[in-house]
Amino acid sequence: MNNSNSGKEHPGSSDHELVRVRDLGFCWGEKTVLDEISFTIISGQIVAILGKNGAGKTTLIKCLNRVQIPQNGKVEICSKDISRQSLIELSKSVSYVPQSVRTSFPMDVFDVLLLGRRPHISWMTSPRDLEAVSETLRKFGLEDLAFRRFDRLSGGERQRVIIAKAVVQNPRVYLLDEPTSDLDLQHQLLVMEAVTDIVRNSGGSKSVVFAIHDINIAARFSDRVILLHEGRILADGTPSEVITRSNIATVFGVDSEIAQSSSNSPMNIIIGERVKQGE
Amino acid sequence: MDEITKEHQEKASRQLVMVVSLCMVTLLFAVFSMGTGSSETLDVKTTMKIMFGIQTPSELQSDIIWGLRLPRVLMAIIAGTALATAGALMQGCLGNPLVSPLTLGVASGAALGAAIAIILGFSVYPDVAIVANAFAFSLLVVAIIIQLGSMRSVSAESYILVGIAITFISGAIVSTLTYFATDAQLSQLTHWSFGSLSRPTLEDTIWIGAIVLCLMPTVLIFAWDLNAMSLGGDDFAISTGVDPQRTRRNILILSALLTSVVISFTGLIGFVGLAAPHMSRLIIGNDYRKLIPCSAVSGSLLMLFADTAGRTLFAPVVIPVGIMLSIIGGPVFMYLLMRHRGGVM
Repeated sequence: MNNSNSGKEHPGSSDHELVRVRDLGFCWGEKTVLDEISFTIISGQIVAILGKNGAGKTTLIKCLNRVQIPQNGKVEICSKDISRQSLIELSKSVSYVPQSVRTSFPMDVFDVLLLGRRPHISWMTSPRDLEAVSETLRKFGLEDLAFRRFDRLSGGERQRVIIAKAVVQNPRVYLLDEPTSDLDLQHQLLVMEAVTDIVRNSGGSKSVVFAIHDINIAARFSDRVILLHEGRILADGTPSEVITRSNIATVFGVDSEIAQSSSNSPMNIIIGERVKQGE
Repeated sequence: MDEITKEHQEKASRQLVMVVSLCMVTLLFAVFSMGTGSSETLDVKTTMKIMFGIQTPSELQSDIIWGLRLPRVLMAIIAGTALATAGALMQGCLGNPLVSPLTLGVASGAALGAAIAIILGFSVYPDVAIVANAFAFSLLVVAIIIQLGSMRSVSAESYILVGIAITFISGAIVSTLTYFATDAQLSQLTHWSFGSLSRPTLEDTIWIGAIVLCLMPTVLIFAWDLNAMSLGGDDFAISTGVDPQRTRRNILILSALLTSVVISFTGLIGFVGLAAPHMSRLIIGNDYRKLIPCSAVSGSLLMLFADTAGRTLFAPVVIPVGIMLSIIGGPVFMYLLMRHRGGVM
């Protein structure tokens, strides 16, 4: 994993460990959602948090960004404890893309992206901020939508706009919650390619963590999978290590067949019948 | 500079021109309003001459200009600015287009204070009994908002629901009090609730104006936070570096103060705080960096227009601005909404 520059906004860009989670625990009242979660993510990694609905994926993502405050454990981003940072400081090193946004008063796409500059400016925008926005718009193929209202976009376009806003924010770590939900197949690929390009184009200085329940997307786009089951990490490793027939049966309760023509080609998981619980 | 940036800046300058022209129109209308009233000799020209010291006025003329018309016109501008800004702020931080400055219960708190002063004759400061009571009781509501805001994980809806509860409670107490009131007291209370610009004196107006003027720059600081919150909700705001809970509480305190300082003096004026922000959204969009100034100006213009109409339409009878606002502003508002069908929220 090489470490090239990542812009002036990250003086500590030589940090190799971007995310460090230790013994994280979260519960809603009596119900334990996450228990003893520990992992470390280094720069350049594209990590899928895989699990079925209710496994705690969304909560885990939210705990990394102080959207949720965990009861136990510690989260460090770029070697700094997130509970000791202001949100504005934190938002310079990490950007979170929610599964969907609830818009009450929509703005133009350009202005949505401009919000990504907010952690870096006091009030006034400079020409550099505006250029960062239009550059990102071009990179995401959103030029034609620049002055369209956010609420008039399709689901796929909105998702791309919110991811583009995160890119304008220029953090080290991207957290995405189910980035492909509500999208058709073509847009799923489009959005996931945009996400992985973020890391590829950063020369390995950034990393992406995304929560996902689609095994095939996890296998195809990540280089590391953290498999979450009932609030605990069941497996953690490369896609071919983690996505096995027995793990799929345990977590998703379905039989499956895994096809991979060579070790470099993407895995293809064919879902079969539901298996009986209690295996 | 590339195409997109250029287009963005062109849009920004168009919006600036729009706000500046609205300011000019408001100023012109203020001048026109100064020269309008039941006194025949005081037309726009004479009034301006007297105000700029070119013509020596009679004692009566001087009283009318400095004692009646100027405070009224100034108060229209100040009240419009304060209430429209409060409305825009509250809609944004609660993520709800139905919210107006009256939603939080600040106004009904003020009404309860006024009723206690009028009917029970009790006041926290008897020299200016009604105003002092209205202000004190609306501050009580602000205190409730602060208390609510310091609790853990309080949602936007909680504020609205608590506001509605406060409105019901104070309404019920005021209704109970009316059973013990004389006819004269009842009529005084009814008139208070209409909302009128004739009550504040020039000195009051300057004080209110000074307070509003001090609060306005603070309001603008929150523009980015409001953009993040109203575009994407709380989680999105956090990812943009905004603490939604704390920001929401601070913004609500600020708008409650803006509201209470005005309506304690004028009585209930509600509609401008709902309509002016929405009209501004149609004109300029939802970016709070521009929406706040635009709401302030359009609120002033709306108030001036309604008050001038109220003074002239049925002269010599003067219809209070609170009533005129709803009569004139309501249909205009509806027309705008329907023309931009689906384009507001």
